[in-house]
Amino acid sequence: MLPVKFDLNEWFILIMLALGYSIMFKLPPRFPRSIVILVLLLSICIVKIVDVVWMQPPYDLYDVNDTPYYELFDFFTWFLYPPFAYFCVYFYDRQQLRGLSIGLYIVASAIFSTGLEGLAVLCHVYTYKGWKFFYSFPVYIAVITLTLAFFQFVKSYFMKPKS
Amino acid sequence: MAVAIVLSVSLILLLVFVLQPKNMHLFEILFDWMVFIFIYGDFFGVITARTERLTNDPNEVHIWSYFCIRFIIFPLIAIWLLDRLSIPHAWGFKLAVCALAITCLVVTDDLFDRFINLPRGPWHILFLYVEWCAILLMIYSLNRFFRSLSLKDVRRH
Repeated sequence: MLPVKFDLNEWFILIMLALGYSIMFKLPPRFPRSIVILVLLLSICIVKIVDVVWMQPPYDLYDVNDTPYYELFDFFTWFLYPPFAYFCVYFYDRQQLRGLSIGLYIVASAIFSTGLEGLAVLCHVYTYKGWKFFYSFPVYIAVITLTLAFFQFVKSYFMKPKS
Repeated sequence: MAVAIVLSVSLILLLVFVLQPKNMHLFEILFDWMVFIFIYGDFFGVITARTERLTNDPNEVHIWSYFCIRFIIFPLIAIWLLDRLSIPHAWGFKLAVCALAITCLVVTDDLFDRFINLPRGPWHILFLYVEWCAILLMIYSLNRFFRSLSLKDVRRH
């Protein structure tokens, strides 16, 4: 259950968690709490669904943390994604993006996410087996688009005028 | 063959679930679905120290069957149960629905464990009953919390 060795990957996870959640809670609230909960849960669910298919045999494309088995820091790793999903929808909503700028925003967010993943790989949070670094970019494009579409759908329900 | 059966059952269940009238709101259903995905499997694996991943049988059929069972069949049964529980009924009826749903979940879980040859101890069935009761209790409590929160949010905005 505990990490084999408390080294760079564990420090990376703890620092990113502290940084991500402290910024998330410092930002002035923009949406109802139910929307925030749904968006945060969606980000964890996507990771878990993707992990079930790609992290286990027969595909077995990558490992998370020190071993292929579950450990405590795998649990913490799932919580790395929700703050990023929150920032993504937060700035999307704040900037009131329309048209082509949405596409540019998604691409910029995907580049940022891929860069962060590269940093996580350097810190041995992820160990690629069959996965390649550049595969992550289209995956992030799809995930960010899905997150923004889901946010827009939920928000339109909450914000629509009551009859 | 196995994956075709599991996929067909998943699609039929999904279709029946979508078509039947529901008491819960769509966001509640989405919330329960996502909470289920978060709680079941890995999370329970970590808290019960069953730390082996699905590594004993690297078979593509198994992983896609597991995918359908874990992300469609189990959550649908759990959400169906929560939906039935949210309608006012006699306690006896609710207990019967709970017993039926938990037994369905345990039987499906046990059948899948046999199918992929997971090591099963003598207390396996009992463990599954305890695990499913705990999971459903957690989802039910979180569903109550989310329902009251979303009602407040809808009134406020």
